[in-house]
Amino acid sequence: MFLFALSATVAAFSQMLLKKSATEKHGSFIKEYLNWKVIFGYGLMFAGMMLTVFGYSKGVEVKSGSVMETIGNVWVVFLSWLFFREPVTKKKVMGNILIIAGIVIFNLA
Amino acid sequence: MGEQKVRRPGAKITLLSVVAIQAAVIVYTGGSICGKMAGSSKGSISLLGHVIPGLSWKGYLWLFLELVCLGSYALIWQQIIKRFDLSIVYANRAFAVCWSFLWGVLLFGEQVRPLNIVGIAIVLAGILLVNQDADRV
Repeated sequence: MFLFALSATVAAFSQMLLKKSATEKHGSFIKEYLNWKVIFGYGLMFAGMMLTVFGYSKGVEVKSGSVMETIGNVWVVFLSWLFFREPVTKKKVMGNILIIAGIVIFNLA
Repeated sequence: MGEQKVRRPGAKITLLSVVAIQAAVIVYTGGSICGKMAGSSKGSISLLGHVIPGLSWKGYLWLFLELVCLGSYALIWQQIIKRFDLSIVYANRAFAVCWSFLWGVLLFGEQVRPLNIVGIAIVLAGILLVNQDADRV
């Protein structure tokens, strides 16, 4: 379970790098992708994916794994506020609670 | 006193932007399907007189398609997060649960259970709620 929480955290940080690069001005379209933030960001995302694969190989059920991965939503709201000053509104918090609840219910089936 | 930096809000979520975001999510879940197909295409290939065990040619084709999907997703995603707040589009990504479920039912004959539908409806309600605050400063 720790691996999945770690994977969601790593994935959230990778999104911060991608967003940081997306907010910067680049000389050309290709440079929007070929810069260290995007490359490292996708590298981190890949590392996160490997952590989940490792987690599943240790016998974690798919439904438990996908529920744990929703921690990423909480991280992204918090880190987007921290790094980009995106507002944490009541609707955003309630919406993410509903999303997590929906995924938990989906996996109860 | 330094000048206070004013945050530029992300664009408002329109029907067209929802389509663009979901297109990226569909491509992403398509990659997972290709990965699943590759994993079930075990075998071996013969290359320059050597037999390489692992995947069949079909398996490698699925693996290649998975990479195409993930690459396409990366291209689209970067353009999306350039225009919208990350906390908004990331919430929209949760709809992947619906697309993966749909692929599972259509391609692998997985069962539809009432709790699946209830869960997806709640996820959708959450996304719609988050989207209402897309252009807030």
